[in-house]
Amino acid sequence: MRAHQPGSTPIDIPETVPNPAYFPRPAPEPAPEREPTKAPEKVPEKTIVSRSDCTPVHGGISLR
Amino acid sequence: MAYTVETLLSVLRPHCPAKVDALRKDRRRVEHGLTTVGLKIHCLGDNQELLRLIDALGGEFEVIANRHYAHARASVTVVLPPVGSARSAIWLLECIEKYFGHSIFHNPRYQVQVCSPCRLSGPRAAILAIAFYLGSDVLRRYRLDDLTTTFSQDALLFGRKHRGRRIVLYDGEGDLDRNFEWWDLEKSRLSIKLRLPFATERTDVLTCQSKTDIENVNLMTTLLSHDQMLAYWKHLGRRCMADVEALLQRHILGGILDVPWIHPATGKRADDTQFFSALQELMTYAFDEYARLEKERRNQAGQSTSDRPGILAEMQALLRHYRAELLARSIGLSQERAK
Repeated sequence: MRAHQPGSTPIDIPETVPNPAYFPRPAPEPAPEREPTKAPEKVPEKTIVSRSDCTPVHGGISLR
Repeated sequence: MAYTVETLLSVLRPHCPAKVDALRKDRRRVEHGLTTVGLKIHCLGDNQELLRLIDALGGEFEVIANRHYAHARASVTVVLPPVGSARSAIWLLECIEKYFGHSIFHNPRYQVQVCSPCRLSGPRAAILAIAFYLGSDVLRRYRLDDLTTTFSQDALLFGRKHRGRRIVLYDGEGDLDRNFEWWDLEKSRLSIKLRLPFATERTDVLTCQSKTDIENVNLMTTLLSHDQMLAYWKHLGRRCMADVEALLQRHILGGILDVPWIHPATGKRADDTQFFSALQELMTYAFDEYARLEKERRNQAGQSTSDRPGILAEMQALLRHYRAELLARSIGLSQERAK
């Protein structure tokens, strides 16, 4: 891709460029260890708990 | 037909013991009420390293699940176990980089799909896609083909799972691990639920390539999903949406919000052209901005010749502002409760 205005020197712009407005920020602060008061989830009376609700989700790999 | 998290971490541990130990301890820890992070790695080229990982996890027979939702050009797609924070997600990918012996971030051979709980509404998905694009550390000029997944065109085969070609996609009705905290709001006070209030609903960003992308998507999906679900960060989310809309209006780009940035998952085939026209308008605007800044840099040795910061700097400032405000409030909340 080439970008220029009439009378100016054109510059070549590749399809992927660093965002010129981006500046790396310092590593994020860890969250505090303390946790606010927890409230259990309200479960509706007619909620059906399926087996998948109780089984931790593991990863999977697909090939095609 | 699934490998366990523990198996994966055991395979990775010899390559990065400290991070794996930290992940074992804190993988489910939610930080500051930000949403959980699911990851898929789409390998777009040679897949020897991923195949080696599959072997280490027990071989194809053991680990290949009945999953069809992948990037159309991916030779292999790996679904990673969900984690409680962007930090854990980045650590997990860094461990896999160590295992592979080469980078995943900023590597054109890989595309990272970031999965967040909650199906964001159409307007919110549009805001997410636009903030993701402008806020990334890299500007990319997409072709529509770059956004093709196995669910883009196969409406007859998968019915309701047709998703069109988009940067932001809804889930394919697969699994969602709900066993993570969710910061809810009850009577104007924080109430931490121990399970996510979603069954399988997710909103995914298909084309992440950097740590910044993961962090930005995590921040924006938190704000937008809390606004939609009236959860703890809903006020920040509402303001953030309004600010992004105002930013686009200032740059005469408000019209791009009127097109479907996400396929509604109704089963109907989508018209991708409206979306892609809007994306092209955004990309052209961003690359013009890049050209303007590049010329200024060359002409003035870094001295800006105009007062206007430009859309890229404005989006960076907006993301910085909301990240800082969320962290400050979260830390303030913790200090308040410690008294």
